[in-house]
Amino acid sequence: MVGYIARRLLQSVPTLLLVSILLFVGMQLIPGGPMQAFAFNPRMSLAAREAIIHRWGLDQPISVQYIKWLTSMLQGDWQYSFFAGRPVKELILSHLPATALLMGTAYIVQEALALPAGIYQALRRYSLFDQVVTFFSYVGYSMPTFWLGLMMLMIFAVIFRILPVSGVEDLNVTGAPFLSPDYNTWFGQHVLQGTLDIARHVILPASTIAIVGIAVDSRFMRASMLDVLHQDYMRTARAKGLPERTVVLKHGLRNALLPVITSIGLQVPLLFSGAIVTESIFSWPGMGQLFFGALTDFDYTLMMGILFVSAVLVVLSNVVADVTYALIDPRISYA
Amino acid sequence: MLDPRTVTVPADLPEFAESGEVAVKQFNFRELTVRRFKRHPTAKWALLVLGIIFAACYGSPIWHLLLPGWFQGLGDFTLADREQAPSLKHLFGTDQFLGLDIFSQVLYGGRLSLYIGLGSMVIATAIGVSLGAIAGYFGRWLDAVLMRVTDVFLTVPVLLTIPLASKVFGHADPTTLMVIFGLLSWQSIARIVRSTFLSLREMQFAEAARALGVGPMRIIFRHLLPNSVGPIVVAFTLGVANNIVLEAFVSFLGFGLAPPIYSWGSIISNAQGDLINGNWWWITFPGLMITTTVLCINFIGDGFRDALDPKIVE
Repeated sequence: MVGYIARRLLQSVPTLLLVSILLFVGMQLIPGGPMQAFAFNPRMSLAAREAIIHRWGLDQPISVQYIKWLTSMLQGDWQYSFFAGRPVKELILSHLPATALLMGTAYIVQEALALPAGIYQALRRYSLFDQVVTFFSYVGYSMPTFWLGLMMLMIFAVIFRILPVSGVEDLNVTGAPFLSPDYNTWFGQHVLQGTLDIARHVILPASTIAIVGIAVDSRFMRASMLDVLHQDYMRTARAKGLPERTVVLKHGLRNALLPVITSIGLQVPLLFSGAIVTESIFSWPGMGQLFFGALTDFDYTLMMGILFVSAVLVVLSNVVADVTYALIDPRISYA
Repeated sequence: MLDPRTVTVPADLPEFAESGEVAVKQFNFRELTVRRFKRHPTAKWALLVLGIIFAACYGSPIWHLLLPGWFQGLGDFTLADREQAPSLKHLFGTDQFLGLDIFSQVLYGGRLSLYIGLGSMVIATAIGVSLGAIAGYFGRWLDAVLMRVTDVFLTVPVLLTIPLASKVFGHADPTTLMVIFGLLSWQSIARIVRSTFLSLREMQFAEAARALGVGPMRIIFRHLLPNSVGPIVVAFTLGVANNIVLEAFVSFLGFGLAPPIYSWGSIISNAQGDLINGNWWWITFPGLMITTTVLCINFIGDGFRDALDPKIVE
């Protein structure tokens, strides 16, 4: 098993190398290249521009630049953000927890609702419940996530005013930005209050992501369960006189969950995309907000960092999905 | 491909009956597909609704000529009419800036949203089919190289690269935006075509064509491609739906189209600032329009999937 995981990880190295080359060359193709942010800045003198170009090594051949960039990335030096004046790594690491929190909450809610709904739909096929959920999952799947987020924001935060409009915390209460040292000490002193504060803020963005996810996953679960219900071994189990409950849960559900777990694992990139979209609506201080902010300023180093980190996340989640599949399916053995 | 249960035998055909032969109406693949598509419960209605949306959007200049006072052009507005709730005169209400009728905006804007969604997938399909066909048919190192490239494009989230490219190259130009969307959304089609070609090229009819000395290009386009139309059509429809939503999002963020160029996304982008005043209509209707369109496209995609799948027999 360890060998299989190692092999799978090794296979992703060339892909990531190609991704890095593509990103690097792609950035150079942009008119103005990495200096695009300063290209039309009238307040910057030619000499100052030349100085920056020289200091960042942008006057060297692109192959040299790429090797330099790659080695410094591998050594953990992800350069400085053009505008924030902080190391890119620090910026990304400080925004990752908020995204992870949002994705995690949405994921748990989504699976807790979608899987039972899908199972029940399959067991009571064509019932009123099945048809209603099917209709809503089609609609949920077709709704643009960002619009759904805006509608939720309008209904619950503007018209009814029961939930906060944006952010991850109430600054009037905490007095410091999320995950700053001051915030952490405050949180240490007010654990319950702080958790409730975050919980209030996470409801809207997490349910926005979860609604789309429920639409997709309940369909998966329903289809997989329906497949299993018609298998011969189900009939055999019933013929043996097993109670219906045991037949459905032990013989049916266990087998039906196999393909579902894989497809759920492969959905992590989708979840990440959903989080990015939702963050930009609710000003959630995560990776999405960081990226679109960097894009507005054309913060070249920061964008490269975020793009690369998200590529790594996608590749890793694919490996994890493959490995879980190998772990849970007894029919597959990887030496 | 021919399903015996959908083949009908006409009851009275005397001249054949006399000679002892049975005439069988043979449906070709296209006729079969159309019949099955029509039998799909929702696809037919979805096609009708989508047709109405298309006609309504692309007919906007005509509606403007026919009902000049009611269906406004994007230039004629009344400032006194700002922030009106939906009424008979303004079906979807009016906006906050100029008092423009939102119903008119949505129909005018739909033209660009649909144009970008469809056009980008035409480009993406052309790229995806060519790359997938080459990789699947020729195999070996070409396959390895092309699929690594596809992997790379699959690895970086499109949601990040498309806004980036749109901001840099396509600002406020629908056609450039369409090309950017097309250039970045061919990956899944390339994969699908490659995998069908891998199995199709080993089939006996391909073998026979090769034995007859048919060239690779002709085999690819005349023999293999028609057999992989089903999955391509399905991926195409899903891609159109995706790109309509993505265009709206990119424009919403301010990296795509912006007024005075109207698309569904740019209308929502405008409306966002007014959200806090509780003017629900400005943001609701363009979004409902996107949802309806995408829902119809998804239903049609489902219909095609069932109609083109030879394994499904009703």
